[in-house]
This record gives sequence, structure tokens and C-alpha cells, in this order.
Amino acid sequence: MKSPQSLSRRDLLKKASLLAAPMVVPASVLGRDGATAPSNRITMGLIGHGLIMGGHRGYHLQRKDVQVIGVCDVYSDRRDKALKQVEKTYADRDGKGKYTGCESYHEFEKLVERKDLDAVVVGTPDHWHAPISVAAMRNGKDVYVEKPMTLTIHEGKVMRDVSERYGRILQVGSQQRSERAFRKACEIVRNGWIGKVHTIYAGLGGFPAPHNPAAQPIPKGFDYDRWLGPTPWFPYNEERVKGNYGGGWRRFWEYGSRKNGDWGAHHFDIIQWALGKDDSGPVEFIPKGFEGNEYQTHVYADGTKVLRDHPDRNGHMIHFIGENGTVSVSRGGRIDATPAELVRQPVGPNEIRLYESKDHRGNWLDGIRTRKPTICNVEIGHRTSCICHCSGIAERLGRPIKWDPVKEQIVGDADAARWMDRPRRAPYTTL
Amino acid sequence: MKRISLTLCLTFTSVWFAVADHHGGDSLAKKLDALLAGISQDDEVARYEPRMGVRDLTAAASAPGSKSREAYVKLLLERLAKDDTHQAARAWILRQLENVGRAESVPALKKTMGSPFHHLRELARRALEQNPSGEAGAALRALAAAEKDRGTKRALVHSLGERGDAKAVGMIAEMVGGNDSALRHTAIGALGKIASEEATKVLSEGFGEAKGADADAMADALLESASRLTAHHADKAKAILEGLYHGKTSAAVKAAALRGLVEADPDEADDVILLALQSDKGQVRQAAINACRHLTAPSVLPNVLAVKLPDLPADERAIALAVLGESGDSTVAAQLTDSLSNGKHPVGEKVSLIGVLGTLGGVDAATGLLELASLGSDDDVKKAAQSALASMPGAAVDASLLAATETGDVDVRLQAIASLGDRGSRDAIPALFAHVDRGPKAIREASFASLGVLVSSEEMARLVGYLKGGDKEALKAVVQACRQVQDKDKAVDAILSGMDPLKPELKESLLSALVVLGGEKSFAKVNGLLGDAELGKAAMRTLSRWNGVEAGPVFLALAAKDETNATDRTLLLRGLGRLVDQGDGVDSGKRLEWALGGMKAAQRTADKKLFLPILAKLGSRESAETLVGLLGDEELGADAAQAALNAAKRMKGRRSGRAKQRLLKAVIRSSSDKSVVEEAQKALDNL
Repeated sequence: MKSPQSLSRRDLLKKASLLAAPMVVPASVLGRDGATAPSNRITMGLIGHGLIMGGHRGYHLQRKDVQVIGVCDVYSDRRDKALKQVEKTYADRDGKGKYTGCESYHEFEKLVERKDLDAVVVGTPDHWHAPISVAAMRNGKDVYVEKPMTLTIHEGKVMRDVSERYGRILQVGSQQRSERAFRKACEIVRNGWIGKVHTIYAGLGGFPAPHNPAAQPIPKGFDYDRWLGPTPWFPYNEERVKGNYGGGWRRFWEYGSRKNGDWGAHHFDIIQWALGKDDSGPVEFIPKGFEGNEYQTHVYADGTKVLRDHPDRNGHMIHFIGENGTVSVSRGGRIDATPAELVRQPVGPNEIRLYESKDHRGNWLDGIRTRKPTICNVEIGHRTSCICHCSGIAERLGRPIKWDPVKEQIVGDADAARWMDRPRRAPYTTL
Repeated sequence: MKRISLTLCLTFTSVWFAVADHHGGDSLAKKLDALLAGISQDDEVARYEPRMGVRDLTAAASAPGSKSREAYVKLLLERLAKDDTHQAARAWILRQLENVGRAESVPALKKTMGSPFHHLRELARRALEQNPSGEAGAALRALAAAEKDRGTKRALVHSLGERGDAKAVGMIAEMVGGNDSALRHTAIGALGKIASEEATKVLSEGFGEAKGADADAMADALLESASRLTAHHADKAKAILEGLYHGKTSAAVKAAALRGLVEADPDEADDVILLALQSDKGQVRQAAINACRHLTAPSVLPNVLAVKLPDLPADERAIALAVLGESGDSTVAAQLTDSLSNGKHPVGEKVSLIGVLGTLGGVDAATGLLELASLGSDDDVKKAAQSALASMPGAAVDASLLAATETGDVDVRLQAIASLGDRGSRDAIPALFAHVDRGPKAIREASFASLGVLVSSEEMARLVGYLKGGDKEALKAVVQACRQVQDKDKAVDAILSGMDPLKPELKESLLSALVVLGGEKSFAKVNGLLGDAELGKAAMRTLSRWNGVEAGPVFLALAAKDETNATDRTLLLRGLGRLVDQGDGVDSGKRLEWALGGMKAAQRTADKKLFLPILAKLGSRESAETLVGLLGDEELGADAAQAALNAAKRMKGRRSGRAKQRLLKAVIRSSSDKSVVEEAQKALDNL
């Protein structure tokens, strides 16, 4: 029998996200800030050089305590451009005409096998997040993976297991957790300053409807089969594979959960944080249109409802409605509350203070050094992804689904439960 | 082939389930056939909607309580078997069977595995992998045993592993000894997922002989097995993990095994961790320190980790500090405080230690931190200690700080008073008032500062009462309190009733507090003082800083009066401009009206110009027209051109194109500023 004195590794991840007060052990503890000896730098591999990786690449190239030693992509052009940027940045930094310490890779497997590599950033489309992250963690690497963490619910369980088994530090790119306004909004809710929250509106917006674009010739230098990886085969079309915040691959069910996995991965994540459900989740998902349901909805066990794209959000991305007030929050540090004073009200020492991070990527780098779980660790990333995926499953099935957040199962609907994973296309079956 | 009508397909989909029970399978068959015909078109684009139509049929058929599932799957299987079914339709049928097929689908899926088309074979395998029936497992085993193609064989073995098919262990075990390394590793991985007794036996026996990548794969598979066994067969998991931990394995595997052991047998975790802390492998020691995180009240923390902290290598020390901080175990605070006082930690590490103590709380930690916060020699350390004191949990901390305000070193007392304020410790209010009444100057001032952040409207009258003595610190505290009190009306009453006996200069100062509080009552008071011989000027200045919308009409009226002096008019117009700019609680029509009124009332050019950028920000058609009208104005034309350009840049939305164009053309026509014209032309070109 499990001892009451002990916590499982999974419990640990939950506990880390529920810390009552921030506990910061900065990178300077190891003397690795400032002028860092090359031998003490975190060696980094960057995988998937589309839109989102631009920011990551720039950030890590500017960090004096990080050394990018590998770049990987299935597009040769992108790979080459990334490599050139790394070489130029380091050549300039070192005051030398040339830098040749970074390798480029077509296959991520070869990059993550490198013994001299500490960590990887995974910035691919969603369907490659889990396979690459799992391979990296099995090889002892720490991982920063873009949101949503996974393509399927099952993948999240595997990622959590592998992360725990190998003691890997994983950060999911839900960077709103590292923004002050979102943390403040969550502290207002968690401390009951607006009373019991019963309804939450989240604005996700929408993509154009999914479609089958016409077949086009595969561009030279692009490994389309590997890009598709574990997903079903479809003819190539640029629209299917391009990174585009207004569509591109994000528009297709094959490679993600559409807006649920896109903005939902951010806003549902914040809502989980605010409600103290980082180790749990909703119990029911009701699609828009089902029996006249006006808004996609998910419901927590205590009856709290989250409505997608309800317009009365006070001009904000997320709007919490409690019995005694409201709090609304958006990117760019925007936060409003009723009563307005709540925004300025400090959190008392005996109230709930949430995990504080001011720099999402930096929080991961600190975690790599101190092994402290990150602000958006694998458990949190998995739980939020479950909401994204369950919302998408209910939408495609056209019926509500019930979710057991303890067993992590779709319940009472055996065929819906089969959607918790998607079989992987050979030869990309490894997870 | 002609495109099949999308509307027709969707209509079929929506009505079929309503009528299916009455009209039997024929209408379902027609519906499905129509959709499959749509999928069979050569035009990939046109296939999408019929695909979604079939997906909806599958979803409805698979719903709990559906009576049509069997009939629907039968139809899918019939269409799959038909010779003239298009490959695209077959592929989509296989995708549906992945979600809805059961035992009845297995023969057809097995047959499809013999298809010459790779994509169809792959979809059939996926459907078998997802199929919940025992028949699907048997089919996969038979297929895997007979398969000659190495890639397909690997995929089949993978599927058996995903299904956790214990019956496949014998067959898969043979592959572990084969020559094909990729197949070997797939087989090893599958055995790890199956995690049956037989599977783990194969892995354990093979592990002793394995080398290189095979050994890594075996170790991973054994760890996977142990992980799966932990919940219900902890003893078996433990046996596997002990073998890996004590065997000739890499440090990474030992560390993973250690983590597994702690989870599998938490009652003995302290001993396991203690032993691992002695390891000569850094990776194992780090894992052991990390594993302390899994224990809520382990003796290892105070007895070993906290004691050994100063002697650990720097990277392990950093991990240990994080672990101790997260533990919430305040019994370690004493050792850490001691380490902080006596250990030779670099500043960064001291800051971290202080952060840990702040998290843990407790009186011992508070006492040590109070000393550092007040007497520390390093600024970073002092700030960290002050910050930790502000947030450390526990009512005992407040009590200990309160006691520290009474006696001892004055710097420590001052810091204790400040910390009580930082902590929002309202229980300290009576004591702080007592210090204000009796304390020496420094203590009195510090107490006022803390009272300013602590008092509510209940204590406001008492605080205001101290103004009679002309105390500036008391005034600061009152203004500060006005910022944070929640019952603004009550605070206004306290200030108004305490105002009368005060000297004029203090009254003037208190008007600032009324600005902070805002509200109609305060506004009426300040407005009413405008004609006051003694306070009229101060009231005018105060009024010009007013933030509430109630001030707008008053600003306008006063600014328009001829008798208002020029300086006051400028102040009032600035106040009006601020209200229009902020726009809180004022609709856009009113904002425009006030802006135009302000420009009219302004007598100085500079005052008129105040409103141009505001008009640009309003972004309405009317504000744009106003700016266009000003382009020819000798006095304001140049600034209006820049404002109009900015207004054009801010215009958004599909319908704004023409208005934007008009505005930019007007700027180009009227402005004599070359750079403004160039910028406008560029913006116009971009349109």
C-alpha cells in the first residue's frame, strides 16, 4: 500500500504546480550567468524551424549560458538558413570570422542521440511534438515543446511517463503562465476575491473550415513523407504544410485540434491554473450546436462552465465571472476586475501565491540546472492538452463526451474513447 | 466524374438518422453510396465534404445506444469488398473502421493487409490496432508471424505492443534474437509495453547478454515494464528496478531505476535515497536529491540534505536548495538559517537560500531573515530577505515581527514595522497606532508608512486625526490609504469631517487625497471650494487632476469662461484632454464633443494642439473630418496633418479603406511637410 508520507512522481508534478509561494533558485546559483565558460553552457538542439522557432532561436542565441549545437528540419532551406544564423551569431560573438560548431540535421533521431547535447526545443507542428520529445527524453535530454503538448491524449500519458522515468525537465510553450497579468488574474480567482467562479468565457476565434487542397508537386529539398510522419498520407499541397497563424497546417484535424489546440492551449491552460485544476480537468465537453448549445462548452465537476467565444468578454481574451465580481485578462499585461481595486490588491502572505516566472524560456533553463519542475511542466501540459483534444473529439463526433479526470478516460462511450489516440503511420510508429 | 452536390450529401447526412429506423438499411445504403461516390471523384478538393459526411455517419452510428452500428459497419465492409470501389473510398472506409469496427471487421481488415497498395495495408493495420476485439489481436499475431516485408513486420509488432497483447510474447521473443536490429528494437519495445511476466522474463534474461543500443533498448523496456507494473504489482516492479539499479548499468539507467524504486516502495524510500546519496556517480546523487521531492515528511531532508548542503558540489547544492524549498518542511529552517549565517555561500546562493527560507516560513526563519533584512551588508541579500519576509506564510511570523517592533536595535524594529506593512498584517494596526502615539521619531514615521498601506476606511478617521498636529508623515499615510481602501465613500466622509479644523495648507494637501478617492461626493466638495477665498486656487488645481467623467462638463464650462485665468484654463483643458484620451465611461460621441468643445474654449495655440493627437486616436469618421477641416488652418495645419496621417494609420477594418484614402489624399494635398507627405503617399500606395 502506498505510504501517506510519500508522493508519486506524478503527485510531485502536481505539487510543484500548486506551490503556495514562489521559490526561485536562479541560474546564478551555479555561477552560470554572465561570462559562462563554454564547458558550462547548456548545449541546445533546435528542431522545426517554422514561424514559432524564430523567437526561440533568437532567444537562445543571445543567452550566454546556452550553446546551440544542432538545428534540424525536414526543409533543407530552413535548415540551412537556421544554421547560417547560428554560425553568424556565434562568429560575431566570438569576434572570429567563422564558426563551425553547429551541425544541421535532416532526422531528429540523429540529433537527440548526441551525447554532448543537453536539451532540445521542439517547434514542429503538433503531430511531431510527442514522438520527438519522447525520443529526446529517452536519450536524456530536457525538452521545451511548443503548445499544445500533444496530438492525442495517449501521447500525453506517454510523455509524462517518460519524463518521470528519466527525470527530464519539460516546459510546454504556454508562455501566458509567465505573464504577470495572467498570474494576477489566477491569484484573484484562486483566493476567492471575486467569490466562487461559476462561468468563464474564453476567446479562441476560428480557422477557415478544414478542406482537402488539390495535389501539388512536392518542392525540391522538402521531405514531405517525414513531415507527415505518423499522420495518414494525403497528397502534398503547400497549404497543408505551411506554418500560418491564420490557417496552414493548423487548419487540419490531422495535425492538431484546430483552434482548441491553438489558442485553447493557452487560454484553457490559464483557466485550469485559475481554478486549481492543474492535476485534474473538466468532466464534460459539449460541442457547439448540440441540442441548440450556442457555444462550445466544457464543465467542471463543481458546475463551473467554460464557454468558447462568448462575446461578452469585456474586450478581453478570458473573462471570469464569480459570485462577487469579475476578472478579465489578455496579453500585453491587460487586466481588469470588478471591483477594480482587486487588480492592485497585493496577495497576502497567508493567501495562495502562484508559481512565479517572468521568463518562460528562462524558467526552463533554470529548471535544467536546478531540476525544479517548470511553471508549465509535463503534467500541466498534458492536462491542458486533454481539454483541447476532448473539445475537438466532441466537435467531430457531434455529441457531448464525459471525461473522468482521475482515470483520464472518456467514459460511457466506448467508441469515443477510441479517439483518445490515433494509430501512427509506419515507419513513424515509435512513441 | 462530375462533382457530387455537397448540399445533397449534407442533406442526406442530416436526415438519415431521423428516418433510419422507419425506412431500414436501404436509405442508409443510398446515403453511404452517394457519399462514397463523392469521395471517388478525381478532384481531391471535392472529396472533402463527402468524407465529412461519412465521418458524421460513423459518429452517429458509434454513439452510445445507437441501433444502426451493426448495419452501418456491414455496409462499410460490403463496400470495402466490392471490386469497383475506388481506392480513395476504400481508404476512407478503413479510416472509419478504425473508429467503429469490432470483431466483424477483422476478416476484411486482414484481407486488406494483402493488398498490393501500401497505403491501404497501412490503414488496415491501424484499424486492427484500434479494434477492441480479441479477433483483431489474433489477426495481428498471424499477420506478424507470416509477414516477410521488414517494415510491415515492424509495424505489426508495434501494433501488438500498443495493444499489450500478452499472447504475442512468444512470437515477439524470437524476434529479439534476430539479425534485423530495427525489428529487434521494435520487438524489445513491444515487450516492455506488454509487461507480462513472460515478457519481462524475456527482457531480463536478454538484458544480461545485450550490448550497446540493444542494452539501451532493453533497459528502457524494462523500465517501461516496471512503470506499468508499479500500480498493481509493486513487488514485481521493484525486482526489475533493483536488478537495473544494482546491475552493470549506465548512470542514466541507475538514476531512472532509483526514481522507480522510490515510487514502487515509498516506505523504504529514505534508505534507498540515503544509499544513493553516497554514490560515486553524480547523476545518481542528483537523482537521489531529486527523489527527496517525492516525500512529504522524510527524515532525509532535515537530517541529511540540509546538513550536507554546504559540502555538496555546486550543481547538486542548487538542486538540493530547490528540493528543500519545495518540501514545505519548516524543520529544516534552522539548519538553513545556520548555513546562511555561517556558510561561505556566494551572494547568488545566499539569495536562493533566503528564497527557500521565505517559502518554508516559521519563526526561526523569520528571526534570521529580519536580521539580514535590517543589518545585512549586501544590498541583494537585504532585498531578498525583505522580499522573503513580505511573503513568508504563517500567523506566527506576524506575531514574531510584531514582538520585534517593541524592543531591540532600532534598525531591526524599523524593518519589522515595514515588513508588517508589506505583509498586509492588519492585526498590527493597534500596535502601530501605539508606536505613532509614543514612539521616537523614526519609529513613528515608519509606523505611519505601514499604517498607510494597512488601514481600511474603519481606521481612516483616526489616521486623519493625526493631521491636526501638522505631521507630514501622517498626510502621506492618509494619501496612501486613499489608494487602497475599498469603501471609498466612508473614507471620503472621514476626510471631509476631519478637514475643517485643519490649517489651510493641510486642507490643500488633503484635496489630493480626494482626487485619489474620486467619486461624486469628493467632486462636489472640491467643486464647491472653487469660489473659496482661501482654497479656491488649490481647488482649481485639484480639479484639473480629476479622473472621473463627472468632471468633463465642469472642465468645459470653466475653460470657456472669460474670467478664468490663462494658467487655470490650460490646466482644465489638459484635464479635459486626459478624460477624452482615457475614454473610461464616456462614449465616442461625447469624447468627440468634448474634444471639439475644448478646442473651441482654448485661447492659446498650444492648448488647441493638445486635442489634435486625441482626435487622431478617436479614429471616427467625424474626428477624421474635423482633422481634414483643420488642414488648411494657418495655426494648426502642420500638426493637424501629422494627426490626420496618424488617424489614417489607426483606421482598421474592411470598410475603412475609402475613408483612409480620403484622409491620406487630403494630407498629401494640404501638408507642406515633405516627410509627412512622403509617409502619407507610402501609406496610400500600400492601400
